[in-house]
Amino acid sequence: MTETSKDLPAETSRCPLTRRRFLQMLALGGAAAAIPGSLLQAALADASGNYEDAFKIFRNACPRNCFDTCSIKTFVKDGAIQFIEGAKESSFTAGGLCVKGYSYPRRVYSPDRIKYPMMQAGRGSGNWKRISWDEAIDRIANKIIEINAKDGNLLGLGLDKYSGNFGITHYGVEGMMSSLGYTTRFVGTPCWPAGIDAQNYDMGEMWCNDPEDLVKANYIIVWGANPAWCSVHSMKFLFEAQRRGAKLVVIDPVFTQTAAKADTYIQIDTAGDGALALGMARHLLDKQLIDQKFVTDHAIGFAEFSRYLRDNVTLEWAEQESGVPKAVISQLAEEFAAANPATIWIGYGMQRHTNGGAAVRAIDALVAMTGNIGKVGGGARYGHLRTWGFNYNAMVHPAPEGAVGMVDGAAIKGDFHFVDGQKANYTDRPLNMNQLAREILRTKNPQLRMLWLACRNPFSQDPDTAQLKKAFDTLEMVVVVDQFFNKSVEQADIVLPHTTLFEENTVNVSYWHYWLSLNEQAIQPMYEARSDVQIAAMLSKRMNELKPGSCTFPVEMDTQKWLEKEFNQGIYSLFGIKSWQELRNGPVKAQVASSASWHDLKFKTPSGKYEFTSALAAEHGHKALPEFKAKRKPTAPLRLLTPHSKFSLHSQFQNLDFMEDFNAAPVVYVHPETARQRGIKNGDQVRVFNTRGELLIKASLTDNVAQDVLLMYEAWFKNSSFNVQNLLDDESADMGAFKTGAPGIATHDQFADIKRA
Amino acid sequence: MKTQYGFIVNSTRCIGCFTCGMACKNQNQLDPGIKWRDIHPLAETIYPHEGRAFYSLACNHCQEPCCIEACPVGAYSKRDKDGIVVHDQDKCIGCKNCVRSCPFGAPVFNPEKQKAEKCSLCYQRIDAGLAPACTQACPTEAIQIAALSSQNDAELVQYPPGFPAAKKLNPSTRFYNPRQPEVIRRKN
Amino acid sequence: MSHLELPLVFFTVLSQAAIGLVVLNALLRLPLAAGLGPQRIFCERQTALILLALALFCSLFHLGHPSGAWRAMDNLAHSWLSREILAFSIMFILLAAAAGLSLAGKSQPLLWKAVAVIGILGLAVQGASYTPPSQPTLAGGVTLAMFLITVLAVGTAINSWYAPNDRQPVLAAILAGILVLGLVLNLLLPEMWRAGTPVAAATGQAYLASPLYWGQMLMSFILPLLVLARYRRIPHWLVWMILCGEIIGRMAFFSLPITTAARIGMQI
Repeated sequence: MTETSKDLPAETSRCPLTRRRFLQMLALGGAAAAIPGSLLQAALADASGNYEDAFKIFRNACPRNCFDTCSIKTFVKDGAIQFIEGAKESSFTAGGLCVKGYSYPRRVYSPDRIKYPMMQAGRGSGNWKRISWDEAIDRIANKIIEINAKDGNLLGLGLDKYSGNFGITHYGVEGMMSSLGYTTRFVGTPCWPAGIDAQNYDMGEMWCNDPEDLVKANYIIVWGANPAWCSVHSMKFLFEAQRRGAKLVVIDPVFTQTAAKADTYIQIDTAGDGALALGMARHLLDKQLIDQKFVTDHAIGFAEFSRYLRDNVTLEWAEQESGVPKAVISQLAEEFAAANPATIWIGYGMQRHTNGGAAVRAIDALVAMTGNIGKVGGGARYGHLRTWGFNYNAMVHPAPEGAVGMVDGAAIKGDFHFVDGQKANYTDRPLNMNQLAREILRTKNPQLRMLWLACRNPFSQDPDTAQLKKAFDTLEMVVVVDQFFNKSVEQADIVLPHTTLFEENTVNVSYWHYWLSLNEQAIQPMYEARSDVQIAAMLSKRMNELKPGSCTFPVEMDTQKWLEKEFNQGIYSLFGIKSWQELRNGPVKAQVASSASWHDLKFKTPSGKYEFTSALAAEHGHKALPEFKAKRKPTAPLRLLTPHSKFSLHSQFQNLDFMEDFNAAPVVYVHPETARQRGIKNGDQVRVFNTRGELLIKASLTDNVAQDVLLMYEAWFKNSSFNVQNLLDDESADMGAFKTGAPGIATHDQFADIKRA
Repeated sequence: MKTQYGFIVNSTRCIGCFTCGMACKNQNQLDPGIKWRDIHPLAETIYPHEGRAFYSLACNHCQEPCCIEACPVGAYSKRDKDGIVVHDQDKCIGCKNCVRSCPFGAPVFNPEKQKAEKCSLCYQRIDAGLAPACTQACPTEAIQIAALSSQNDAELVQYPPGFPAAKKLNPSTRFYNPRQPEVIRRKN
Repeated sequence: MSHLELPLVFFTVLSQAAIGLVVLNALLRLPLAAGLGPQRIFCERQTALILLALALFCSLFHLGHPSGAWRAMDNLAHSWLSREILAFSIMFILLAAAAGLSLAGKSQPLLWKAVAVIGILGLAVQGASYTPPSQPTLAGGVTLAMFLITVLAVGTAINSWYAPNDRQPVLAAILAGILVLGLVLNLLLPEMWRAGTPVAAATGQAYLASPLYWGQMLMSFILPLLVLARYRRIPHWLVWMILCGEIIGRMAFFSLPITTAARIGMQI
């Protein structure tokens, strides 16, 4: 069953930090040459101890919305987690987690966890009362039946779910909705949709190289990404590439931690990315540093793109638009073209703009015209879903007999929506997830009466808190499934306690690396926590008791049974395993022909080639070419950036006392000159404000940000009113509707001002 | 010379991700509020970019530990075979003298237990042939342990700026200083 | 401001008061005639014993686990703190004997001198014990100098209780000299620190910004000097004023010096 102590001697003897291993690590660090062997002797001799024998070991996988999707080893004694580690079997996780991952044991045993189903008398009142699961489910089921009776359909029941848990069986939440009938679904993604559409127009799919082949790149531009914070496990590959001689360039409006590790940091004006890429492209054209074979044989529209560049783009213009000196633009372009292979890591941050999709297309074009697409160590790296071919068994359930929905509704789409909509007379009602407040207030016939929130915390992640509160006030019932009393739970009527990853079975893959990890139940669920599929099963049972035939969701409560049903031959073949049980020995990596995406240069575009000019893009109302798109006009004197903190994933983790031990309170980062003009000193209490709201917060002065930028990291601190969303609006990004059902959100095209409080 | 293990803190590779500090809490089941390892950002006078270079520090397992001299009940000992300084919490009577004494702030006082505690270099793991929690956790191998010998290396520093130069204690931690990238600022 | 360490404050100040009383009395014969002042409830030996007993009692509150106090001499081989406990334990035993014998009318001057010698040793050990490597500002005898001022000032003041009338103006002059010395030392130290390393400079700043520092200046030195100038002798209540000043000063001593540990990552 589980990996027990019997298996451990082999494990421990495989793992010790031997002298050889230690020297390998030094070699990886580039330090071996600098250290005489006699100085740093082997720290540890081979030893076969029995330290691990005392534990039962389980395999887990971090299900958070993160590049790294770590494979975890969990050490359990007396039914309680003692500690966890990264799995050494994965060359990506490589034995270590991150600051968030290592806080999991505290998360599981946190006194702040939601322990029982609870009901709140008056949203926001904090007047919670413990209720039984039976009562909670009964109230919910009766409400659903009531809605159906009132409206004649279930479109008044809405689901807002996204990436709080990427365990595959968690698509059972969508499955629960389908099994009830036709409902309202908040679709799209606040994360990466503009870039997904951009890569689909250019190449027919979002597909990135294996990040582990970064070591083979000779030139790396990390453009608008900050892996040192958001993908710590990728850093070792960047370092190894540098050690092998690659140049690492970071382009970012912020001097990030990744920038500090680069060879060159280029500060760019926020949302000036497209202009910089086009300026580089124009320079390459002038210098004839083009991969002629690629643009002729494997691409269409390069002539048109060249004409566009010659007619519209100059280095001077690019400097003006991006803030990057033209000499730097030309040098960067020439170095990039000269290196073979060269690659660009396109960050998600840089596409959360009203011109983000256009910028990604321009960067794609730059990588393509230099012939770096399809190369090991090359590529326009953004993300992939190539390893996600599960059955989505928990997600696919027919509507009950006689269910009614939208007659002319669009099929549900989503970045992780892997099942085709069936041909049916009715469909669900898709609404834009990124404009949750606006959509709730706007939707009529029927109005939204009930909202189910799972794997999502809109009051921490959706813009315009004041408007969202107004929207929630129109809802008759809000049900939240979560682990902590976060800002959305505050606005709920009923909260249902969810299991942590250690308390259920599921399976996880990544949108960045190519590893597959099992997630085993390592401990009994704490208190009365249940997994999403279990909650769906309980609801189904009650629905059918109250109204036979009203729900098609299986009443299976065993999460292992749900897990088993997700596997298929495709997954087994891709990962070279015969059964999912093999994953108990550790994570496995997809066995692919090449680490390079598009290695056969057969693109999935309509033309089968790389499309510098995309008829599909034009059809969708965009420019056919990766043309420049001007940035959003400022609505306040300073740009407000609210990127991700290293201590949290949206509202997850920062609330734990363990995390507060390392990061106690939020601050706003201000350039010293901007602060001086406003009489603000380091550590002063300040007011960050715009027309939507304000925040009281401490100022920290740093030239890591430009003079026209304010920066706060999005996070949920326990017992704190801090919420960056008070200040943001729901402006859409330019792309995203094509592949994810709704345009993205321009999170980084936001503006505010600051003064002393 | 006796074998002495020490941490090699490579600030060139350190990304200040705090993984080591949390891995330590996870491994040693530390109480909330207690840190055996902390990650110290360098002031701009030492590294010119605010909050972008770090020293990850725990106990430095000094060759001449002042905690041993501070502790009235002999709760501290230095292992012969590898120089690890171990605190025996069973002996501790909570006088805080070690906490007051250590120039590196390695021992901390646990108000729940009313006793001191500090980094053990995971000697139990080391005795079992495993790496300490922090070094195994580090995603960039920026923190390692090594046996120090009498020789020295030009790039390895014992007392970098921002680290207390408590020379009488002869701390066993060695450092690589952080590097700076070429920085190109916006023109407008 | 970090922890005031009140048990340590009372332990050190009270034990130093006892040392001052005994040493100045037994070795320097400050009041000249022993046991004078029949109006006093306690003679100097009993007073010293009470002070030291109080000091030791207060020190227990410093321990997280006072029940383990009996093991505090386990590390005599390495620990100044163990030696300190040893010194004060011996002193306490001898002092108890001396105080007990004096009740029986036996003055035992040799025993009384032995207590004083142990007291001096205890003070030296204390000086080493409270000079932690984490506070380089206190290195080089600063701790001992500060403690010595306490010993001399409080010791002289208490001894005035037991001195005959004609002796009082001399004692007042001696105390004034000690207080001037203390005042100068306490004025100079923060300024010297401010000109030193960043840790020292930060300590100097902390001192000058702290009401504790100014409280000690006022209560221990400035006001007592004014009193002495006014009366030309030591009013019996002046002991309490100086003692309060020293207690406030000791709070400063334990809470204000910046540790190197607190400045890791900054210039130290």
